[in-house]
Amino acid sequence: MEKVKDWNYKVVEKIGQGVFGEVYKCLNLETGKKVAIKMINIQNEPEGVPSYLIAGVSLLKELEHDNIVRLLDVLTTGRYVYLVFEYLDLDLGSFIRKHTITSIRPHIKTILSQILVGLAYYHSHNILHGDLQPSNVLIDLKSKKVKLADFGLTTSFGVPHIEYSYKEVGSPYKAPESRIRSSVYSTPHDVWAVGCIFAEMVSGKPLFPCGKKDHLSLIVSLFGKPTKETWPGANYISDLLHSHPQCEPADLAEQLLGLGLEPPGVELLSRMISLNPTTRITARNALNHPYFKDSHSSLSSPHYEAFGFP
Amino acid sequence: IEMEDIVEEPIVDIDSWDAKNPLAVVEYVEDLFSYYRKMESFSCVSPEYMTQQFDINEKMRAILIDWLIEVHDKFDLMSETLFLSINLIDRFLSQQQVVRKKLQLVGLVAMLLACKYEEVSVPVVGDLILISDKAYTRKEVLEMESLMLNTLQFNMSVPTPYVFIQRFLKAAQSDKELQLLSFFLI
Repeated sequence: MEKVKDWNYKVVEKIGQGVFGEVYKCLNLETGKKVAIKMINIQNEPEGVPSYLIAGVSLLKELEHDNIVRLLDVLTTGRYVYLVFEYLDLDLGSFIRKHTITSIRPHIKTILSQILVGLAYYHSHNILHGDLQPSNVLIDLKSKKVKLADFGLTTSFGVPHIEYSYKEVGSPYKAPESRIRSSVYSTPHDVWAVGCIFAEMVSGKPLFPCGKKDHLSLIVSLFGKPTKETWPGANYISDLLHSHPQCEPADLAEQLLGLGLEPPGVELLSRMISLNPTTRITARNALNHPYFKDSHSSLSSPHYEAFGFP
Repeated sequence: IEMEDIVEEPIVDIDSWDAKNPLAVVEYVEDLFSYYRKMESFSCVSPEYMTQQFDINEKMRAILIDWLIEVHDKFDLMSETLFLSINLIDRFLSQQQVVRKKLQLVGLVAMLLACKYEEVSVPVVGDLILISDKAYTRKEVLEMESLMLNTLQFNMSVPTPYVFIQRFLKAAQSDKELQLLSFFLI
């Protein structure tokens, strides 16, 4: 990270660490603007800068959208590739932690719609985000904008993963189909994560918390025991599911209504976290859902209702 | 002349016969080419750029490209790769001074990067060194790769003459002969 001084950046702090490298919050000394610099290690690449990075960066450079952090600059030393991204101070994770659910409630619609607008843009360019979670959703208080980022480095550029069993490790926002061998890992995967984020904004806590219980048990207790009709993926892990007891699905709708979510919101959420990825709602269709009817955000009118934070 | 006498020849919808081919992305083809057209201006360099180079000239560029065409053929690469390589060379040379001895290295690395961007299987650095008769070391190749990526700011997705001629040939409903002639000319 020493190197960035030569390019007029000052390191503020480390904000992320992953298989592919590290992410630092930095200050551009010329403009005074904050940036996030993703440092990707390529020292062990005998063939030079790997193809996926060249193709991935080239693609990222073409993306330009209000709801996606901009890739400002790319530099390589031959040992590392540095990706310089636009950075905002607040992420949705800290926002949820710092505020009560009643003070978050009025902002849910605008935040959610901007996440979906950004995601629909990714998907229309055939790009998967692959690691959506509250800490990757950045919020700018001044301009009232929400921008999607990817500072986790758990995936490089949405390279499809093939898993060999039910994968317990990884982000709790990962959709169930992405944890299963030979399942199609595609755009519905991101929508699942948005559903999890949506539920978290309403209830103030993660829908599938890491810790005590494994992810599959949480899925079973929320949806009831999946069958191959409700979830085609169940076929692949019938052995694993066998050990889970039959149970009634939890009444999530009731809980969320109790927390003040309107009925159309409950309906939208249930379509975002549909177990079957083929029937899960798309980002674009979600934006046209009745839940957003009274807000000004849709793909055709990119003027978002400004949100005033407490 | 009466207006009715002029029979306007209808414009053939050249995409209609591809409507069922999902790989032809007929739905997006108009958007795609208007985007290419917009990006074309960023991908072109001044035809005069050679005058700013002190050690190399147009003739050497021509020799380099002839050689790259041979290399391209030997590795059995896609046409897009060749056009992209040449675009990378020109954009690089318009921004960096290069001595005669390193010109072949520039060509080699441009082809390596174009392969990494475009091809499914990429020739290994070792083979590229061999084909240049071991004129350069692996270290030199990788250093040039970094320099070129930084100079070009990792911008690899540029529309080359290849994408346009493909479209024009389709519009002209060309036969094999016309296709070969046009590719020879560009």
